[in-house]
Amino acid sequence: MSKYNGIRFYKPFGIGAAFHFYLLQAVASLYMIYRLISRDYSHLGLFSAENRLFGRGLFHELFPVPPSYLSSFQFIYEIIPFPSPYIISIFQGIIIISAIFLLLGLFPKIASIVCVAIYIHLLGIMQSIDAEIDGGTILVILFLILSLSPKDYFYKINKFNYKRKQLNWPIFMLFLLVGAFYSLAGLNKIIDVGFGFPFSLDLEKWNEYATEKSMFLTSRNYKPLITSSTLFMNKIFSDFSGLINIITELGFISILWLPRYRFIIITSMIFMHITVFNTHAINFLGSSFILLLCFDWNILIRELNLIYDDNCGFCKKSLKKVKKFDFFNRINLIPSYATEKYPNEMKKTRLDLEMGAVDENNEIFYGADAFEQVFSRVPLFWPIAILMKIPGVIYLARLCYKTIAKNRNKLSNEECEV
Amino acid sequence: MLIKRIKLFYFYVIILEMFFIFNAIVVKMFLNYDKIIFELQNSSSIYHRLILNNFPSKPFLSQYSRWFKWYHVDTFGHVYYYFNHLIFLFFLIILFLVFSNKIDNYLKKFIIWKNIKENKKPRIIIFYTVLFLFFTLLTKANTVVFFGGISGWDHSKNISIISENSNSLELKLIKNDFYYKAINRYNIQFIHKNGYLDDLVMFLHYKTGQVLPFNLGLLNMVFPSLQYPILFENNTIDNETQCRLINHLKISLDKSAQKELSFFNKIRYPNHTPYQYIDYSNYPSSDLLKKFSVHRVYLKLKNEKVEILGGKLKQSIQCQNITE
Repeated sequence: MSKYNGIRFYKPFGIGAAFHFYLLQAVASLYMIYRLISRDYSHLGLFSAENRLFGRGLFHELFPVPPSYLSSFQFIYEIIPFPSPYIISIFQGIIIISAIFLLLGLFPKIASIVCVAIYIHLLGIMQSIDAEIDGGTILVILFLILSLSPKDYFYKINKFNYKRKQLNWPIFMLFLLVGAFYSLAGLNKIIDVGFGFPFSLDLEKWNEYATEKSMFLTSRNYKPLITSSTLFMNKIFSDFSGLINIITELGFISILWLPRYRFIIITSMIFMHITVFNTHAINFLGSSFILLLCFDWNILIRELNLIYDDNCGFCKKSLKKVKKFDFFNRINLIPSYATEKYPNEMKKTRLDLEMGAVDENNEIFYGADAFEQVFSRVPLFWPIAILMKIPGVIYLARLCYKTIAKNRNKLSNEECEV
Repeated sequence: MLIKRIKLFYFYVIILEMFFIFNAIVVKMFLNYDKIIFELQNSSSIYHRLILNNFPSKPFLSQYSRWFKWYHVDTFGHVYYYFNHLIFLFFLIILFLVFSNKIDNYLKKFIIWKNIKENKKPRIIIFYTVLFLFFTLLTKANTVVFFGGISGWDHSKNISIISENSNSLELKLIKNDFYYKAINRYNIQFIHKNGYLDDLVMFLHYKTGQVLPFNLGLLNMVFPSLQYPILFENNTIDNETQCRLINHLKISLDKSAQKELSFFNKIRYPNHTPYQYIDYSNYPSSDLLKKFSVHRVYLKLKNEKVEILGGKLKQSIQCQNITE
C-alpha cells in the first residue's frame, strides 16, 4: 500500500485491466491502415539497389555499414533483385491486411509480427532511397511491443473482455520507449544547439521566411494564415514555445513516474506536432494518436473506494451529487465508520478531516488528490480533472479543499456531530 | 561479471563512435581538400596558418580514404553535429568515471531485477530494451526500429527572402506567360512587405504545347532532392536520372489524377513533407509529357499586389528516349 505524493512509478508488473492494451491493439492497427492506404510507396520500386543512399550526409555515414542495412535486412538485395513497384505494393498490401486482421482480432499476435516485420523492411527500403522513414518510428515501437506481448493479452474476434486482469508491462514498454524517443529529441536540442535553444529558436524568423516562400507553388505546404499571424511572428511567443518544448520534451520520460504531468507533457507534444505541420510542413500528426495512448486509460476501468466522513452532511450531499453522474459505476462510497472496508493504513483521525480514496492499485489519496481521482473517473468532470493536472493547480486545489473542509459544518444544513 | 561486460561494451562503443566521428572529419578533409587549403591560405589568422602548416598532405589523405571512406559525402553540413556529439561523448566518459561506483550499484540492482524468475521473459525484454536505448543514445544509429531522436536546430540564421532592391534588370529576364501559373497569388494577402522576391519554380511541358506547374510533392518522397537534385541551381543530373525522373513523374501524374477523383483523397493522411496543393486531374495524359523545366521567377511585391517581373530558365530535363 503506498501513499500518493505526486511521484508514482508505473509498475511493469502491476496488474491492470486489458482495456489499455486493447486500445493499443486497436489504435496501432487503425493508424497503420489509415497511414498505408493514404500513402503510396510503390515509387520506391522505381529505383535500383545502386541508387540507395542510406541517408548519406546524415549520421549514418559514420558507420562502415549503415545500421538500417542490417536491421531491416537490406543486404538481401545483394543477392536478389531490388523490389519493383509491384512488389512494393504487395508489401504495402500485406501490411494493410495484417493490420486489418489485428484490428478485427483474427490471429492478432501473428498479424502484428507479420505487420511489423514487413513494415520494418519497407521502412528500410524507404530510408535507403529517401533518407527518411516518414515519421513512422513510434508506430514501429507500438507494433514491436504488440508483437512481443503474450498471445492471450490481445482481444480476439470471439473473446473481448476488457476487464480481464493482466500485467502492465507492455504499457510500461510503451511509456519507456515513447518517453525515451521524445526525451532523446529534447537532449539532441541541447547537444546540437545548446542550453540557449528556446531563445535562439526564432520561430518568428522561420515564419516570415515560410510565409514569403508560400508565394510559389514549389514550396512546401506552409499555412501563411498561421505563419503570418501576430502570435507566430512574435519573438516572445517563440521563446515561450521553445522553453515549454524543451522542458516537456526532455521531461517526457517522466510520464513513467509523474502521472499528474502526463497531461501537460502529452498535450504539449501534440500541440508541437500541429504547429510543426502548419508552419514547417512536416507531418508527425499521426504520432498524436500514439501520444494519446500514453495516458493511463485503465483509470476508466479501475474502481475507486471513496471513504467519507459519515458525520458530515455536506460531504454526503456533495458525494451523492457526484455519484449521480458516475454512469459507469466506478466509485464506491464507503462511510468512515466501516473500518473493515478500507485498509488499516488509512487513519480514521485523518479521514475525519479529509476524504480518502483507495483505487484498485491500492494507492491511497486524500483530500483534493482524492477528488482528482474521482473527477478522472467521471467523464462529466473531466474538464476539472484536466484543470487539476496543470502544474501548480493541485496546490491551489488542496488549499481550497482544506478551507472548505474546515468550514464544512457551516456549509451543511444538517448539524454535524464532529 | 555481467556488470563488467556491460560497462566494457559501452566503453568500446564510445571509443568506436569517437573514432567514427574523427574518421568522418578526416575523410571530409580529403573530399574538400582544395577548398580548405584555399581558404586557409587566404586567411590572415595565426590559428589558420598553424593549421595550414600541420595539415596532412593530399596523398596521405587519399591513401587513408581508400581504406576508411565508406558512405561519406563531401558536404560539411553535419560536421557541426558530429563535433557536438563528440563533446557529449567526452562528457559521458567523465560521468562514467566520476560516478563509476554509483553506476555499478544501479547496474547491479538492475541485473538482480532482471534475474528474478517471476515474469522472466518481460524482464529480459525490458532489460535489453534499456541497454539498447543507451546504445542508441551513444551512437545515434538509425536502426529503423528506433533512432536517437530528431536532431536539434534553430532558425536564428533564417532571414526574409524579400529584398528592397532587385538585380532583375541586369539579368535580362524572359517573360513567359505560364509563369503566373506557378504563383500562389492568394498568399500575397499575408505578406505586408514591399520589395522583390524570387524562387525556383517547375513546369511540365506537353506535346500539346501546354506548360503547367508542378512541385516535388508529386513524387511522394520526403527528400526528393536527394535523388533528384533539380532544385539546386548548380546541379546537373545525368540522362539515366533524367529518364527515371520523367518516368517517376509520369506514373505519379497518372496516380494523382485518379486520386483527385476519389472522396478518400480529401481525408487521407498527408505525406510526411506535404507540398502546396496542385490539382493534376485536368492535366493532359502523362503520355503527352515531353519534358520539364526549372525556372527562377522574379516577383515585385507592392501594397499586397504582386507583379511578375520575369524569369530565367535554369534547367530543362528531358529523357532522350522520349520522342517529340
